[in-house]
Amino acid sequence: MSLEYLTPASLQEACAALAQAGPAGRIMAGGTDLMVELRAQRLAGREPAGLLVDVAGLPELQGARQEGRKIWLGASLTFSQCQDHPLVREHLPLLAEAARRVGSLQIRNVATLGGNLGNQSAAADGVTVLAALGAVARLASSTGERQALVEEVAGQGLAPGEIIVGFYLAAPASPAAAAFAKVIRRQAVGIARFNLAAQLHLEGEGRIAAAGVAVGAVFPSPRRVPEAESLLLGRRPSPDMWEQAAQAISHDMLRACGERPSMAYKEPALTRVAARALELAWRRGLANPGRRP
Amino acid sequence: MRLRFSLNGQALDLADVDGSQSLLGLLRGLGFTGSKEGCGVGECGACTVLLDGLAVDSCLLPAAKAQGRAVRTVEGLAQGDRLHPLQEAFLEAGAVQCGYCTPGMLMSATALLERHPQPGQAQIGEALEGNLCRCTGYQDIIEAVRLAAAKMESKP
Repeated sequence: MSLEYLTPASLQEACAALAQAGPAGRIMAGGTDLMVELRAQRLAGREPAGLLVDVAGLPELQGARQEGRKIWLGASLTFSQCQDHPLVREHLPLLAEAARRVGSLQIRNVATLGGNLGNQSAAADGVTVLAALGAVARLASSTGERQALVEEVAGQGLAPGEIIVGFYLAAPASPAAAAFAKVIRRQAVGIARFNLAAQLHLEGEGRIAAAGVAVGAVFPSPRRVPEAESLLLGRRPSPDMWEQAAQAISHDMLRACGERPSMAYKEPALTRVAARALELAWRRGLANPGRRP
Repeated sequence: MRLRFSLNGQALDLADVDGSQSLLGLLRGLGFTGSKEGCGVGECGACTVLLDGLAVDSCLLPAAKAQGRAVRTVEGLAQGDRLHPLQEAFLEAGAVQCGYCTPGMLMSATALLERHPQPGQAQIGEALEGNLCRCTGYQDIIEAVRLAAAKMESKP
């Protein structure tokens, strides 16, 4: 047996190929995670076999569009494109900021937003952002299509033969009121020890009308922290408020992780990083109200 | 699979290529050993090549993704005996010690200068973030990039 490589011309062709290949079929998006996995298999003497289906070039997965107050992000957007795309920079500065922190430039030029979700890493930076933004994933297979919250897909996984086509999300009302934080062992090119994405909606004199706060790498999959979000709502921010919300986040992490040795570092670190990021998002929103960050 | 792509400006047409092997493996198998396998997992950048002008880790790119595209490696920088300004600058600035990271550094820097001819510190940092060096401490490499930018500005 060997590993075959197919580059289908359409989503339909890709779904059909995956359905036919069954468990022997693997989706190749940018490949920056899958190639590492295949290499590990080869080094372990387990020669990979089956079918790789390259979805990166599928027309249905390309680009970013605005449709009224909704934004469509194609699954094949690379992280470099997320950094540079005018629509992302204007309406989703949270995603542009996070994209800059993914891997290296070499990786960002190839790795895709859809692949980041499909790879099912608990530390996926793009997934933490999409969760905070309440994004919905559009999924296709040979049996049809469905839509599901990114946060749910990250937790439950994809069905066999399912391809991530792209993401729908509501354009944030205060796009600049956002911050992304990521702690890694080096200055760059690291997998997150933890990451955090915050998108706020500000009204009036900086009152927080809505908040999406998601954290990754310290849960089984990136997810929002409702306890922290509700502590931010409807209040005029005070110095204590950021600290309380940040503690809610680190308490949620402790509940999920238990008493591991790394918690001695991660609990105070996440609390501090979270408090700073939430306040930063708020200050950015005050400085740049409305649609122009 | 049949793989057709351009390598340093030359059209290649290869039969019976394993599309799932890395582009790095393919290139080195063809004798283009300038690109190095420093880690094989996309963390060191020693394998950096340009794909349609974008810096990529060739250890992570399946050869099949080169189909119909333009690949440039370090072997394509010099024109006969004439070194690329970046290569000259690396030599002048003392930015080469063991030389193992150098091809990857040169390709990342080439992509940078072709996009940002007069890069600022932050742009240089972003371009080279994915290229590790164990010898130089990076300062001479950054200086070489600045020197090359100056050379290329005065001689378009």
